[in-house]
Amino acid sequence: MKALYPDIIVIVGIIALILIELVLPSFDLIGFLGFLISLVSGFLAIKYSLEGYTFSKWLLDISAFSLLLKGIIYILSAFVIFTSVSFFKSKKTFLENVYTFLLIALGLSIMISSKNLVVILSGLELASISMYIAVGMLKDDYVSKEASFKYLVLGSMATAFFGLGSAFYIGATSHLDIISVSVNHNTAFALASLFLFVAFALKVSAAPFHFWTPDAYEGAPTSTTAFISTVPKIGFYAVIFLLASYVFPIINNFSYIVGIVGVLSMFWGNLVAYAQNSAKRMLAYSSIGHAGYFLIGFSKYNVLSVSSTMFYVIVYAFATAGAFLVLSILEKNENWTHDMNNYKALYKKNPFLATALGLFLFALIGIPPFATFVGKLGIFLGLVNSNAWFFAILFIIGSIIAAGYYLKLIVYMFFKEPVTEEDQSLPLSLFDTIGVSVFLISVFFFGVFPNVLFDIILKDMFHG
Amino acid sequence: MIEGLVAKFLVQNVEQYFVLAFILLGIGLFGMMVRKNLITILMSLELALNSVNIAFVGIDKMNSLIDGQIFALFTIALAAAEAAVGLGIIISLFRLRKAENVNEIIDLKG
Repeated sequence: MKALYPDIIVIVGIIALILIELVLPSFDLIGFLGFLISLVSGFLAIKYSLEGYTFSKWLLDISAFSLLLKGIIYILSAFVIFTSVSFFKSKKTFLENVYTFLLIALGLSIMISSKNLVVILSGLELASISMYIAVGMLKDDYVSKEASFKYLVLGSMATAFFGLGSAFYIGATSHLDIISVSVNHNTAFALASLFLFVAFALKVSAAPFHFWTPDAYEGAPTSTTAFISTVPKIGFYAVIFLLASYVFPIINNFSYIVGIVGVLSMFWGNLVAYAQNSAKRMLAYSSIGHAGYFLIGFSKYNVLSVSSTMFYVIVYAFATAGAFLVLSILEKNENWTHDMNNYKALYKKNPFLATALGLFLFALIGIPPFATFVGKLGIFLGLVNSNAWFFAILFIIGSIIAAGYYLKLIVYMFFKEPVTEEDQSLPLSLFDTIGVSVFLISVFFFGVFPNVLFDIILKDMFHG
Repeated sequence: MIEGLVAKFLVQNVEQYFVLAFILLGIGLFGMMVRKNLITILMSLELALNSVNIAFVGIDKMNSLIDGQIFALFTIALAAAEAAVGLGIIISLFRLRKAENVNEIIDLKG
């Protein structure tokens, strides 16, 4: 029963926030309470995960691994909320932003706490519908609404595909749980796994289904982009891991479909990112490229590659959230567009933000002291172990291509002369400094001591 | 006599349910691609989502289960929620720019 406490705290907290907002509509109060609720339930979930609590009754099946992921989702949400309150105050947005974030986190948490397709769909849609709303939250901003509509139309198609996939899954196996089944060359089962894979490939923005990603990420308020590009990924990849362990291996050569979608999205994302003039869109394409890496990691069911992909997803979430939050802090200044020219000589204007963004970008390249390097190395070694040399070599080539556009932004920030001569230093508030530092420290920490997280993942991931 | 007619026109093969579901899904996808009006796009989306329910009914008839019908209830509720959010976004788009066609909302270039 204790395994349910983190979610119950968040549910009660969201209702309390809605009621408090009626009486005291203050951004600071609601933001602080949201941060507190999310942080407390996050730490509680990780504590229970380490103590080995589980819960499997009714339709729920909460293992120690899903408690760990819940903890990371809630802690990440807490710090994104913490850093984004001042951004939302400076823009014309709605107060509801804070608990929309909490609703997304709650939906993901419900999604990963069951193996039943109905519960997965409910959690997925709670998260997705809240995400469509969160993207359109900028008041009187046309681009935000347009992004929201495009995201809604394509995201709902994923729901339709998920439904069809579940229909064929029930048809082939006569039950709703994703557990190990034995079906031999069953067409309905093959269609089921194809549709379920397409639904989640659309949600994680892999290449042939990625068209909503740059628009939604650019149109959304930048803090919301920091949230929707990172936290949902952890939940979605947890479900893809579930599919990769029970559904995909049954069909011959399905790993090639997953791997080819991965390769396609890696090259598409990383090559088109070079053509972007806006840093925000460039990071959106970078997230398409990363979806490629993760799908390649899940293409072969191998203990090393699968566990290091999960590790990579978590540390990637910290690095990308940090990078987008630095962009959101910069956007608080007047007349700041995310055009590359605005980033010229950022180091002279604000050394802390420029250094932080530079370090996050180095982390996304996968330079050794950062945690992402461990993930990349693990995926490569796992692919080599399972003799998937083709995907292993393409993975390395894709990663090398990706380095260029991150370095372009770093060169703009540190080595270019500013456009205008007038010296304009950008201000930085204390809360922003603390928030960005938390993300920076965690990316460093998991890179220097990867075993802290990696051992827990290895211990819990394959028992549940 | 009426019972005879009903029995004659009732679906005999389970495959026919899937054929109908796929045809509806295809019409929905096609409508989303070719239609210009925003509300029509939302309607096509609903058609695609509701095709899932027919597939569930077919599956239940084939396996004599009720799980699929329960799933279909969830899908109906979620489709309604999505339609509500979609209409809200269309209204706010219209308030900001009087846009009601897809070729008017092209500020973001895919």
